[in-house]
Amino acid sequence: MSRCLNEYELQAVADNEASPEHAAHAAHCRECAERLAARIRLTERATTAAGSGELPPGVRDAIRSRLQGSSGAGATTLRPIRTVPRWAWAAPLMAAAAVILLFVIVPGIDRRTTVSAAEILGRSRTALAAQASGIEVLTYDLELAGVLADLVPEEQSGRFTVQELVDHDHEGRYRIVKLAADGQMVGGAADDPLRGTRARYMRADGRGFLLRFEGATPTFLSLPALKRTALQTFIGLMQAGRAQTMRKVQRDGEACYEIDVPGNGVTTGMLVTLDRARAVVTAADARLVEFSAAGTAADRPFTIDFALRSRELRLPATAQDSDFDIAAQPGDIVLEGDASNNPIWDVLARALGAIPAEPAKAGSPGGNPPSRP
Amino acid sequence: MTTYPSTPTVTADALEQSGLTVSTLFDLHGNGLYRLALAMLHEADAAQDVVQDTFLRLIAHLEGGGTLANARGWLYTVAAHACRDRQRRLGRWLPWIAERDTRRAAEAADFRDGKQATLDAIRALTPRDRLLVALRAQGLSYREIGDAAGIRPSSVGRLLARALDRLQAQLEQKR
Repeated sequence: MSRCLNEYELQAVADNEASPEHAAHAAHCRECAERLAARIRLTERATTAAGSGELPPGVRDAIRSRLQGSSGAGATTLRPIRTVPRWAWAAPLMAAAAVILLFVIVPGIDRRTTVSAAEILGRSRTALAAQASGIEVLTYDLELAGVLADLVPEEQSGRFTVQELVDHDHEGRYRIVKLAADGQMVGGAADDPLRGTRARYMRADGRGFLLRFEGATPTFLSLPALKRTALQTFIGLMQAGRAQTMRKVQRDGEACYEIDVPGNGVTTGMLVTLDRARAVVTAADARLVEFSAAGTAADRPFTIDFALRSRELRLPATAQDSDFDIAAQPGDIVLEGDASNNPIWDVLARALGAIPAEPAKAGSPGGNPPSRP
Repeated sequence: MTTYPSTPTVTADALEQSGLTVSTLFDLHGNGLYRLALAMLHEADAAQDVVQDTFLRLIAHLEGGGTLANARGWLYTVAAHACRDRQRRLGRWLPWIAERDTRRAAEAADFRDGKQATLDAIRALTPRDRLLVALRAQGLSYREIGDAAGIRPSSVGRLLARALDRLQAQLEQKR
């Protein structure tokens, strides 16, 4: 081969992981050989620094003796570990749940109509959490207004069509894109743990920004999972509400239940409250097909409208890699980088990294104050 | 080519045929796992706990009928996850604190510009870069590094090269 090697290929040569062609090229190309030597020096330096050090003899003996007399069950550590309890944050949530249970669910438990509607809502929540298989393709209308819309750029607020593709056989593999009325993509996210790719798309100030990351691992909570959790939460609030009304309706020829929680049906002192809410779920499998609500978040009003337009299940074999990626649109700014375990931080860091470094001017906001005469 | 302080790979068959025990695996890999954990966690105490936890998990794995196709890869994967879990539980990546680094006391004073400076620079890397460099320093193959770090083996070379480039930048910055 005649092409000189890039840094990654040289690294592979230094690590004895390169193809024979690359190794042969590095051996015969003077320029590559020099770069390889520098890379080997750097690698050896790192190896020497991080590859030395031994367990202290006393600790070594203590661990060995413990291993010899121990089974894996009931393992202990050498010393107490200073940690924050993993679920410490759950305490306030449990307290809120207890408040709902005591003051909302229990008083309403003997209301026959309420129980019936609550059962339907409960089935809907269960259906949202149910394990699924295959590729699920959802198309739905989504409109956010109020405080939820205020948090995003103008292009991101209003009514949109959302296309969501979820691979239920591979955790964290999905694509979700938001389309404006004219079909233009205004936002999106795609994670593919199988290929280690992650893409985020956002339209702001008339321009599209696509950020691509490689080497990604599954995130703790994907966007579809987040949406599902939010809907479960809302349904849970409805379920805990008072004076629910329920009636049978038809949606696309399918029997459904429509459940309403009227004004002030849910009154709690929580961060999020619902003033009114309406859900339509299918009678056959308790699928949520419509949901709308108005309430407050941190004492600021919001409304949300969700309406499922179509749902399709595909066989896993039909999935393509491109299904879980986002393609750049003409004129988009594309930024690429390495992924970490924090997708939000990746986007922020990569976007900030694209800003040309300019020293702050004297007297400008954030800069050094002008010197006095 | 770079040579590493490699340790032999132990397969399940070899484990059976040679009568290797968990203690033997501890002798083979204990120090390497300790170095990895030390590079990741910066605290000797925590690193020692990670080593012990890793081998206790190995015992539980074997007692549960688990397979062990690549003992070294398995141990480093578990140790890398243990380091990550520990850091997550703490809620942040620990800053390197000189007073807690027991290795420094053993170094000669004029070593500052060499090994210790490199170690400082490694500890200033992002957690993933640090993990990749630390795993490579223990002699793991790209495939083993990929398994332990949770990335595709085909991406390891590229990400490792970038990590080393950033290490170089750190070293030059401190010079």
